[in-house]
Amino acid sequence: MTRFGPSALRRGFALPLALFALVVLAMLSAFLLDGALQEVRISRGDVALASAQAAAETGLADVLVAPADTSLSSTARGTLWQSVAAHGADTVRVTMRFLGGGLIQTITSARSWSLGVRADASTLALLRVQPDSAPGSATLRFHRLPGWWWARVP
Amino acid sequence: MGNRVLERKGLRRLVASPRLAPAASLGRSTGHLGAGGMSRMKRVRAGAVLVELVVAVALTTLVAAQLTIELQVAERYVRRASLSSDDRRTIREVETILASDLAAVALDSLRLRGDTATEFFGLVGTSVACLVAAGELVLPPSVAASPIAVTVWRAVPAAGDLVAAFDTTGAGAWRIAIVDSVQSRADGAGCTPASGLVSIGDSVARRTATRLLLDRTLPPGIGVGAPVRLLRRGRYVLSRAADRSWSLSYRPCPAAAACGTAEPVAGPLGAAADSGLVFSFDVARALLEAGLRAPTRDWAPESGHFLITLRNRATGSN
Repeated sequence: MTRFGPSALRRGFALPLALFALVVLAMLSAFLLDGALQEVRISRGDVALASAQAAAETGLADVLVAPADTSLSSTARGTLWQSVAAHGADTVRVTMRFLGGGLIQTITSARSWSLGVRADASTLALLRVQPDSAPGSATLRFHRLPGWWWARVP
Repeated sequence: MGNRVLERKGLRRLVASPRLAPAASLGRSTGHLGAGGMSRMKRVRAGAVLVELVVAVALTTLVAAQLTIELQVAERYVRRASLSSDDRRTIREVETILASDLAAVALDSLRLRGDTATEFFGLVGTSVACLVAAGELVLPPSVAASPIAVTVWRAVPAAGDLVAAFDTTGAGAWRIAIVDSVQSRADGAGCTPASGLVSIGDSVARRTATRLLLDRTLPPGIGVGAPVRLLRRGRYVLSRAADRSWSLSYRPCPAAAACGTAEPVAGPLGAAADSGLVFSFDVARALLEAGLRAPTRDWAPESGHFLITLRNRATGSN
């Protein structure tokens, strides 16, 4: 080891250069990996949100096809009714607030997971309990208010 | 191997040559190296270091040049990936904003202004009438102890907004009034637990109710418990900022005034000439179609395309 003169010459610069290159490459790799993971997280969030929105609207569609009870028309204003359905970690919650006169404010909230990323979505709808429109039918059903009746809740 | 052995083999003369002097020294015992031998060794070693250094510098230059090229390629790739990622994020953001706002719009309130702007009555919030008086409407607090609040605001209500209240008379219809002023009242403004829309806890906590003063008296068919929504006319438009970048902007258009200035909400998008944002509206199918394109780059720009189904109708309003 002592053949090549002073210690400063012996150490050389290949090792520091290689270390520097390794550090730069590691930083670039880390940056790329972080960017890729960010995209994956965003995509999972998008999937979870789309799933939650679909679940919330499905919950609302289920309410619209369900038969209503005669007692709903006379339920006191402000009364709340809730139902929760779970499928694994995903849940759909239907909350109805009775406004009197057969009017109902309905909020269906869904929580959905996509590979560890969670998303929530809620849909508000205004419904009215009225007899089924089919001729001769005495069944009460939930009907949408004429005109405006539906919106996503932020 | 001693000198005697070398002499016996006839190699003594060769050993004396300067080229093999160091080899000969190996045959001697330690401490017999003369001053001449040292200087010769130094010369030989110095030459070897120089050659090695030149080779090392040449190799390092080659490696560094290759590394620089690779780094430049990697840097270009990272920059391109980063810009593409930002563009995709912007397009998603624009999609989310437009879908969130326009999906709740009534079909018959939406108009296209050219192909880069759309005008509509957007939803400010929904609520339920807690107290109805002449030219006055009181809405329950938006923050409540119950699992869901009666009032849900998407924006802060303001004078000039439209109020649509549901009249239960007959088949039911939405009645319209204009908000003259908005008050936040901690005293409830007459909205009490007796209405069934405010809990005793909310009343005791003095949660803020919203009192709207209207330009007209609402019909008698609108009573306590009537669904209410607040609307605001506005436009989403592709606009260019002072720095020449294009973005999705919102222009509020109060009921009795011209549209205000465009405030950017998401961007940058491609220029109007590059179809940065293009709306098309199929009234028969109740479909609003939007095409999005990121700003022009050295490569094909990111783009998006989506459809919004409009399920609400403003029928029954006057």
